[in-house]
Amino acid sequence: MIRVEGIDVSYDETAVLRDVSIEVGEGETVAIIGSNGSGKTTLLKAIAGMQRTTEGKIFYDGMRVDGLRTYKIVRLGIVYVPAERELFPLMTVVENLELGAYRNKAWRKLLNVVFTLFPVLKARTKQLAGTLSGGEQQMLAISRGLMARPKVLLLDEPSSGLAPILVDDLYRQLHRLKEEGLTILLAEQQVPIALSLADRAYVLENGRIRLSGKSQDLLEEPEVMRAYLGLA
Amino acid sequence: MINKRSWPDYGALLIVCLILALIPLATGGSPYYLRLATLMLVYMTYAVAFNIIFGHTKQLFLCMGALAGCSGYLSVVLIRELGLPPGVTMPLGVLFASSLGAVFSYASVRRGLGVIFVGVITIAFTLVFHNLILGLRVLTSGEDGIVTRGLGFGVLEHRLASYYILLAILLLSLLLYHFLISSRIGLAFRALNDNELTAELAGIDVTRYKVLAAFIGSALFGIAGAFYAQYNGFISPDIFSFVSVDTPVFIMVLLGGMGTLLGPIIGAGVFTIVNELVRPLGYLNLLVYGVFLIVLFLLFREGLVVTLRKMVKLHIP
Amino acid sequence: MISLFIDGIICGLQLSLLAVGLTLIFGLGGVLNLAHGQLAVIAGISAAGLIGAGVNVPLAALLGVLIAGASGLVLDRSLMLMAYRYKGEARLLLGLVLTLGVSLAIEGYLNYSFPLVALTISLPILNVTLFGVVVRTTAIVAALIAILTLLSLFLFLKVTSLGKAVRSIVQNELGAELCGIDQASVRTFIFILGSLMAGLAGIAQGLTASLDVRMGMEFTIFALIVATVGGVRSINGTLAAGILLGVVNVFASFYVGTYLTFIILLTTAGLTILLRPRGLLGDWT
Repeated sequence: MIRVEGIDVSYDETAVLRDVSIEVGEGETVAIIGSNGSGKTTLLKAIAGMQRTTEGKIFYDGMRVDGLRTYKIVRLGIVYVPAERELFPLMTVVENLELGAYRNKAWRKLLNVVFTLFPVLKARTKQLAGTLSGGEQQMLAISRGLMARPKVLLLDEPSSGLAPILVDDLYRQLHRLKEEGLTILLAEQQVPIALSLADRAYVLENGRIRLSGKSQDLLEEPEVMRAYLGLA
Repeated sequence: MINKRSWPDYGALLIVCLILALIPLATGGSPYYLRLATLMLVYMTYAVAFNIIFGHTKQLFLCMGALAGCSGYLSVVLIRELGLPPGVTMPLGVLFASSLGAVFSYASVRRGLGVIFVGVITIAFTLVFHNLILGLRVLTSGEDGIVTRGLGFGVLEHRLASYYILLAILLLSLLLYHFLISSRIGLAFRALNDNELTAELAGIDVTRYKVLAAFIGSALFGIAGAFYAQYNGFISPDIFSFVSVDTPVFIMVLLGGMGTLLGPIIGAGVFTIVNELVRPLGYLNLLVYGVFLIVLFLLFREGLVVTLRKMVKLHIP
Repeated sequence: MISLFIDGIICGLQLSLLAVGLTLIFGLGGVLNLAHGQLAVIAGISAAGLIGAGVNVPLAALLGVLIAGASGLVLDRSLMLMAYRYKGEARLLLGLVLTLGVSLAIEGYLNYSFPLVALTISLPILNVTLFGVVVRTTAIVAALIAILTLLSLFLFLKVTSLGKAVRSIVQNELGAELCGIDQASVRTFIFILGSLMAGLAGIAQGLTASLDVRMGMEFTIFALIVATVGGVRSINGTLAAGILLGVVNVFASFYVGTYLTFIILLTTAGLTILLRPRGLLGDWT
């Protein structure tokens, strides 16, 4: 569904991504793993249209999407949920969700889907998003993304700022979404749990793809074990 | 990296000084053009002042006319009411203006007001000033204005002497600017202009430098205002109004280039010429200014000086 | 006393109407439209011209407002586009300069071409008694215009999806983009809305007193001051600020002379800004 071919991204003079190519097939869950600064977020942003590429192409269902404005990419079905969430703090949970489904008159029906997934939000519909806890904000951000009925969901470090038990909860729900057929591309620092969700993964280091393969295989790679799991 | 006090800067000043000194010859004895040129010098001084306050410390003081007017009016009214000599009242006027400017700056920095807020507060002050002058008719004769002695004495012809006195003031202002900007103070200005928070964290007392810039700039407004009041032979609220001073000076500094030495000079010069050309059009001249401003800002975002620098590849100060 | 109060509120509503348009545009686009007052003048002058040509008053007023809206559209789609390419301070400065240029150009052209045109609307019934106080009908109509417009605006922002999109952009531009909201279109829409409100304010002015070609800059400065006192991003604040200053204005003019009134007004505004730099009230609803 998404094919990234050899993109380069630079901020001013500094190269952040170099000759990066990845593929995400329909219904797949793919993880991008790597330490801080490796370029994971930049890769997701590039696909979402928030970051310009200096080289390379990005395809979605065969159509070139690099260079398009973000909102157009969203309307095509690629929804990006940033690590910073970027919610509307002074609007209620419901209003945030409503905006996620902008231009969709039948958005109320989607609320059920979201509330089944994250019942906590149902209890807080009229609460202002800015007053939610970190975990709840993360859930809201993902739900808002879901309201747009994405074909591909780009999740940027969904576990960031969450206590371990909440991370487990969250990934359980992501499993459900995956089972329902949603295509997911996620960037994660927490390797084990990301690999437990994803079918395949790419390891990004200093802006380049270091390794790639099935999650199962990667978990057994000594390099991955050493670098990210702290095991000798 | 402090701007070195280099020869090009002094050279440029010298050239400017010469050109300006020779202008009276070019006017061919016409009192109208001599007066125009003298006015130009006053506005150039205003522009240097605004350059310091806005160009170097981003304080949008839209009360330029009011500051100059405070100085001018205070000085003239003290002469009229208390019979004090100009030598005493003018410095008082300057002190008044500079203190006011410093107070506005201090209050704004302390309250963390952004550019717009400073602009709005100073506009409010301009209007307060205008209404004060009109309201205190007893002291200020309201719209009718007050007649003043001219400048100029002794050797040279009255109007010509005034020109050179104002030229001297302008040059002193430029020298002051130059020394200020190439000193450590100027370095501090550049730091806080770039990013106030970072400058503060680097140990630069942002408040002090902004207030200093405001004080010096307002002093210049006061000096120009006081001298202008005397030179003009007449003061009225109109000559210090927002439309008469703030709007043109803003355009001049933008046009010439903020943060440069010659920017205000060139900007004021070009503006004066255009103003003259456009005078016969009546109100339509505003239309010309408007279009001028838009086109100029779109084409020469950083002002004529910077654009010329890039074109001619010379460092014009 | 009560009559002064009522007058003050009516005056305040007009100020708010003018200033809220400015606040909207600034909150959304990050540009301070210095030509805002001129849009009010354009509406008034167009209306006056149409009335002179025989068009009936309400229609002329409506057309005047629409012309102001159209002018706003032209302004947004031409010059403002260049400002929107930048962000933050650079956008602000560019917007300031460009709109200043437009304001000067409009003022010059209008004063040159239509120097004597002024809008003064009078109604068949002169006065009406309300709560035992005599009020001019023109003032009532002006107040109604202001109230209806502001109310509609509030409802629009609170209830409609486009309105929520507007609020969302103010709260988080990036977030709005991620929801698939086309910011440029919404910005243009708000610019037109703000311009229409300026136009309405111009008509209101023509009702309560009279509006002539030279008032553009004055309007802009008033709008600016009211908007700043209210907090440049807060509609509620701007409304409150407008009413506050309106009441102060009327009371002051009653007890002291014009000049002193201005001084009191401006000093009140200045002090409020200094004491509450974040604006009178909180943020947008």
